[in-house]
Amino acid sequence: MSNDIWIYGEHSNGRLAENTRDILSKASSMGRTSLILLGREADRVVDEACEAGASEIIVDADPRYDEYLAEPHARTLYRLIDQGTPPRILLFTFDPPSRDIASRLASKLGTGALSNVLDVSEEDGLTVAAVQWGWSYTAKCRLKGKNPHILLIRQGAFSDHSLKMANANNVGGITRYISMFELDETYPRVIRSTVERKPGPTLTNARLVIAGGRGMGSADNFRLIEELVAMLDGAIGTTRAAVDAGWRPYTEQIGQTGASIRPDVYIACGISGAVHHMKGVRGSKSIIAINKDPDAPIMRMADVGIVGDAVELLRLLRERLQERLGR
Amino acid sequence: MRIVVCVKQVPDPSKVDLKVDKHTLRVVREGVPNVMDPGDEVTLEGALRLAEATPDSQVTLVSMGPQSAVEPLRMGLAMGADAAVLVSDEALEGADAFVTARVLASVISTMPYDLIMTSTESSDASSGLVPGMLAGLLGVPHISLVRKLSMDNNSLGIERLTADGYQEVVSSTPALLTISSGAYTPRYPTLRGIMQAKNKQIKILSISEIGLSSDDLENIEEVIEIVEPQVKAEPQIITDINEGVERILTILTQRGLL
Repeated sequence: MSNDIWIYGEHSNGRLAENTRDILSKASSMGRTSLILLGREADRVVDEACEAGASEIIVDADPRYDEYLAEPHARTLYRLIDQGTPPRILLFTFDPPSRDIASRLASKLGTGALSNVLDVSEEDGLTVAAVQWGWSYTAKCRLKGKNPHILLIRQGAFSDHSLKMANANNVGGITRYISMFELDETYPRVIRSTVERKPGPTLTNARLVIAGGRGMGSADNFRLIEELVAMLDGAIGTTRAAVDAGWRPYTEQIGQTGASIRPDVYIACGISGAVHHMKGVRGSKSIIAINKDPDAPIMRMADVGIVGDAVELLRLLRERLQERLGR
Repeated sequence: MRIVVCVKQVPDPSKVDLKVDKHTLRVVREGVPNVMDPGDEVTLEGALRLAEATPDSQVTLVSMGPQSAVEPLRMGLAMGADAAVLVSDEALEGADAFVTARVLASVISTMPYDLIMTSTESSDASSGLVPGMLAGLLGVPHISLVRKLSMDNNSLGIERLTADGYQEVVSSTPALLTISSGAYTPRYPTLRGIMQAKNKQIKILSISEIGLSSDDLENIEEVIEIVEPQVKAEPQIITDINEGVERILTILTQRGLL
């Protein structure tokens, strides 16, 4: 039986997604890895992928991968699996583009798939730990069914992995394909892509998120948070209340009807901690809350609660950071 | 335009934290207020608006769940949907994403449709896999995270969210769309809508009636243990702002962010 692990490589702007790098380093400690890179910019990522420790790299740089959403990716993966021995495990990130591809592929293969995976281990068969119902509980599951086991890994699940070593010597080879799929041209097609946000990590993959709520007082005061996340390479978030007030765009909303975040540090500024907001931040490793009201619900759920005016504190923090970073 | 909207009954996410039964290893649904998944209300709103803008349209709700799942369907009919189908069967308790997708695909493949609309992910399980699996099983394209939608000359004009902005996409039908949770503000059912819903029929089907048997419906994973959330240590409360700033700097440094 094959013990190979395949990884679908998520990448953008010529960089491998951080979660893909983490997955690659974890998978390298479990078996032989093949990284699959698809899309117009796939070739630009190859060197980084070698350094990150892939045993084998499969590349197809057909630009149509970027134009036709999930389907061509799923067709190519299906073909790669169908034409040889299926790998034991096929790993994806849990980001939306990977979800779309993994779910279509899982139904083509008839294998099913599992989301929200936090850990993978071999003990009495393949066993995974997965968040199954929001962040309320995690479940340990034994996987049944046939190869490949398709698993979608939560952002940050493997970021503490000790095997962060780069081992370029391991690369067994790079296989290049040209247009592995056929596609009917009536398939849904992207006619224009618009970038709305500034460069930097996204809300769901940032290691630091600073969010502001109604306690920020005004839309203007959010500039402080914008400056701080730019200095610290973090992402800005907000609450439904601030979106409803027209202070921030919906794309920054965290919570039940917005993004679920899982940063190393989450700083909540002037946020009371409504249930629907807290559901989106449960995966944060460290929560710091700043609020005038010591009885705000968020103060009980935080690791550190600072009682005071968020805007005043952020101004002080900006000053101290400018000193430290020499700007 | 024949639109199918997938609807799920969930424990009210604004009121409760989910509980898991340590013996059955399943989510406890008894004694918990159940509602239509808020994301599905948004999706239905999008479907109703498209139907209102397109002559000869019909919106059909499809759900899988216990008998009590007729309640959110009744609510959806009161909002303006035309018909509803519920697949309810004891064999489906604890169904995973792929089983759910197969059940939905079996029902939907028997009805004529141009468009299938779902939420991007459910608020309880949040696997985010059912829509893509359903589309894959039915052999139709799917477009996720849709925030704007129009129909022109049998072609769908779509705006969808991406990690750093949005994309404009054109698609023919049939297709499956997942609607972004902030795309629309769902309407409240009117009194007239509630009265009319009483005359609309909710068809309830068992798995054998949709051509499946319990052998077809095995989950790919077997839950062997539920791990309770860690009890959070008492928060450290700081009442001096300068001390707070220093504490933040220390944490950022410890976490390698500074």
